[in-house]
Order: sequence, then structure tokens, then C-alpha cells
Amino acid sequence: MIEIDRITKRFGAVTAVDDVSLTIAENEFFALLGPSGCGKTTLLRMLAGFESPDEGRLLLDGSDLVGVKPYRRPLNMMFQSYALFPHMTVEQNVAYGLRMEGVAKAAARERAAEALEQVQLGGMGARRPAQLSGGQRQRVALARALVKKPRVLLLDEPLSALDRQIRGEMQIELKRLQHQVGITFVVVTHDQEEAMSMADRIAVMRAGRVEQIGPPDELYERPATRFVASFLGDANLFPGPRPGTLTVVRPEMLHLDGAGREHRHEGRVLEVVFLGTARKYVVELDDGATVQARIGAHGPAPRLTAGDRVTLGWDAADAAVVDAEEATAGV
Amino acid sequence: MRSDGGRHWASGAVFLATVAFLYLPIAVLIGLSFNASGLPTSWGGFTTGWYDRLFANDEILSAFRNTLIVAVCATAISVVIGTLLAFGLERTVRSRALDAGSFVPMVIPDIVLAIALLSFYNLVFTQWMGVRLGLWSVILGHAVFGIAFVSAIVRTRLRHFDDSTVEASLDLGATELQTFRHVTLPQIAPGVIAGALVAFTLSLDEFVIAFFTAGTEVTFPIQVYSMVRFGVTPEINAAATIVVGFSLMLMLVAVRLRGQEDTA
Repeated sequence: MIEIDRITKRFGAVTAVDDVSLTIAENEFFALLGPSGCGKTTLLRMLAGFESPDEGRLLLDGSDLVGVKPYRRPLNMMFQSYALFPHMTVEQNVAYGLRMEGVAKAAARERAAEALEQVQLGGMGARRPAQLSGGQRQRVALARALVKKPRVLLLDEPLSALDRQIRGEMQIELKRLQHQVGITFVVVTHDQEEAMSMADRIAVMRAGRVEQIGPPDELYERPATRFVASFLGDANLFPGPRPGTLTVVRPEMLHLDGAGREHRHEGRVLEVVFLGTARKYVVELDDGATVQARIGAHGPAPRLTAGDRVTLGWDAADAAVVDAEEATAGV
Repeated sequence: MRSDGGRHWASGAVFLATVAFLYLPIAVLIGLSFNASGLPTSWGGFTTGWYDRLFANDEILSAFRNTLIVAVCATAISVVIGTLLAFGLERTVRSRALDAGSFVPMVIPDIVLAIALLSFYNLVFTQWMGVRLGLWSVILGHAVFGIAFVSAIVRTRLRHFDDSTVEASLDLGATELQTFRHVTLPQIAPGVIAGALVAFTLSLDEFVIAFFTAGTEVTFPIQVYSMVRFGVTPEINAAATIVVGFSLMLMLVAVRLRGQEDTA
């Protein structure tokens, strides 16, 4: 549905987006994930029409968006700051896009009220944005974009301004809304947990380029690069099977009773951290490296304490091999 | 206790002295405009006669009309160009030199600006184009500092303005023009109106630039000046009282606008 075809965008000497190609399917919840400055927001802004690419094409249903004014694109954006109009009521904010389309006042009001109902803000239409909480403002911003029935909703760091508590709720809510309205969501985020919990597929970006695209579990279990491995959760790195490679083993794939595993490492427990559902064991291997193992707190695994000797083990099937190079530049 | 009471008494005295210092001269002026004797030294009973004479004085009335024309036109020009300038300086070109330059008309002495404008207008308009100086040149002269004030005031407003609201508006289907009308202007309106009021009141009582660039035309301050040269007449007191009332009204409007904005 959306096809990003060899897009490059430069700001002066800086190449913000560097020859990026990817496709996003109809009704997909797609996340652009990466550290700040990786180009994810620039890419989103090019989709919205606030920046124009220096090279490449942006296709929506086969037609090129490059050069099309933002107000002529069937995509709507939810801004990081929400960008509500402070001089308008909540209802006027939501009805604004419809009024600009030429929808009559009464009909626009009705649809705005419905949209507010949809984000659980029914009856709040007469308030001003300044009278709302952060979470409510976000819902208004969401209603304002969705009321236009866009083909695609673009979300720029949608949860970053919220308290940790509401964030979890909103993740579920966004997912529910996406199913309910049945349109494509493209979300930009720097939070890997957020991306993994919401998105169908994730593009991990770094320094203007896409490192890897795939479903969350695939990225987590089979990272293609060292960067993806360490950006998406904790990663233990062991020397790889070939020179210049590393093997990535997630902490939950390391076993304390390593005897029967394909790969074994002797070491000593440095620290045990209780995490509620699991225990995190920090182990110093005999070769000097420090690794982490995460073991379910209520399983049959042996309970060790700091100072205990341990044999860690893992199987090649649970690990991914990445290039050791590409170093840490730009991370 | 004692020192506290003393301090209280002292601060009250300072307050009263300050109020007297600021407002007593104006109060005296207003009082004298109703003084039947017409002399600043003796009270001859209450009269509104000076106001009757004022409204019968064609010279003063025409000067006052000229001043209003100048103030309205200069304000209109200042608001449009000053607002555009504010956007330019705040959003497009970030330049310290231009920033400083935009403040020049506010800080250089009026007399210097007046002489500069006179020489410039004489050269360009009178010499080259053969147009005589008049109210229009006063309007241009007042717009010079009006633009500076409007842009300075609108810029402070723009600093609290969330640019993403403009993008949101475009994103929601509004054209650039619709966005300016429905999103940008309403948000900066308090700044624009405040700037307009400042430009208007400054133009109303501006003397030096008007005196130099008015050619044969007479504005109210020039008229007052020429009358005062032969002693303060009670008519002038009456006219000044009307001006004070007018300025006060403008100020109340400005305060009211600010109040509305705070509750919004």
C-alpha cells in the first residue's frame, strides 16, 4: 500500500534518511524504531508532506506523493506535542478537518461527537485543550486525525509525553483502535518495548538507514545486526562460529543447568536480581566476560546465590549470528 | 512592632508620593479644563465653556482629524508589515544583525529619525518625483517606528506559539491561507492587537517626526505646540483632557483583551 522507494533526504551536510526502501501493507501496524537522529521522524514527515525527499519516490496505492501538498494527502498525523489548537474547544478541534473539507457545520459537529465517543471522551466537547490531562489531549489529537477517515494514520512518538502508567493502557488502546477503524498505522518511536508491543512489523533504523525489517519476535530472536540485537532488549555476545562474527544469546535462552546444552560456559554468580516474574543472574565467566541469564522465578531451575559456581549452557537454535564489525559508531 | 509600623507608614508615604508624582499633573490639567477663570493660578468656578470653544475651533478640529487619519493609516501599515517582519525574524532568517536592526527605529532619538526622514523624503519624493510632503509622509514616518514596535510585540507572542499547530492544520486539509486565518492569526491576535494599540497611541502624540515631515499640514501635537508658544490656553487643556480620556479608553480595551485571553 505504501511504498518507500530509495528515499534520501539531506539537511545541509547531514544525510537524515539514506537510500531507504520499505513497503507497508494495508491495515498494518508498522513501527519505525531507532535512537534519536536515526531519521525515523524525517521519514514520517516526508510521508505527511512536511518535508520533501531529495531522491526517491513515495508511493501510496501506486501514485507518487512527492510534491503533493500535505492538505491533499489522504494521510493524517498525530503530533508528538499533539498540536491541538488552543483557541478552539475540543469539539472545534475535532471538527476542524471536516470543516476544511467542506462538511456542513451540523454534520461536522455530529461526526466530531462520534469520534470523541470513539476515544472515550464523549461529553468533553465543550472544554478547551488547556483543561484536559495529557492522556485526554492525546485522545483528542487521535480523534481529530481519525475523524477524517484517512487511509493511513501517522503517529509521531505517540506515547512519549505520557506517564508510564497511562502508556501501557494507551498501547492497548491504540492497538484496539487500529483494529476498530481498520486503517494502516505508522508509528515512530525510540522505545523498543512500545514498538514490540504494538507493531505488526518494525523497521529498525540507524543513522538514516534501515537495519532490519520484520515482526517483533523475528527481530528479537533473529537480529540481523549487532545494533538490532542490542537495541531490542538485552543481548549476551559470544564469539561467533566464524572469525569476525558474534553469537547473540538472549538472557532467557541461557540455562543454569548447562550440562546437556550444545555450548557451555563455566562461571561464578556475581549477583541475583529478583524481577517478580523472573530472576536475573549476573554471571562472570572464567574467561572474564560478564553475561546475564533470566530464569522464570517459579520454574524448576536451581536457585543459586551470589558466589555459587555455575555452568551456563545454550543451544545454537536459540541464538543468532551477527557481524562483529560495524562497531559502535553512531550508536 | 514599632519599626514595623514605621516601615508601613514609610511605604504608604512612598506610594502616595509616587501616585502624586505620576498623576497629579494630569489631574490638575483636567481640573483646569473646567476652570472658568481660564488662569492656572485662580479657580473661577466650574464651566464647560472651554469645551464649547474647542469644538468651535476649526483649526484644532482639523488638526485633530489629521492626527486620527495619520494614526489609523500608520497603525494599519505597521500591523501588516510588523507582523510579517515578526514572522520573518522569528521563523525564517535567524540573524542577530537583523534583530538589532529591527530595534533601531525604537531606540534612536526621534530628532535623528525625523531629520533622516525629512532629508530622505525631500530627496526621493520632492526632488525626484515632485510630490510635496503632507500627511502621507507623516504616515510613512510613523509607520517606521510603528513597524518596529508591532514586530517586537508580535515576536514575543510567536515565541509561545506551537508551530506544529500550523502543520496540524495543513495536515487536516486546510490550505496555507485557511491555516493563517483559522489557526495562526487567532493565536497571535492578542500580540497583534497590543502592537496596534501601542503604534496607535505613539502616533497620536508624536510631535518631532510629524513636525519635520508634515510639510504644510498640521497635526494635533503641532497645533498644540504652536498655540502653547503664546501661552497655555484653556482650550488646550480641554483638548488634552479629551486625549487623556481617549488614551484611557484604549488602555481599558487592551486590558480587557488581555483579561479575556487569560480566562480563555
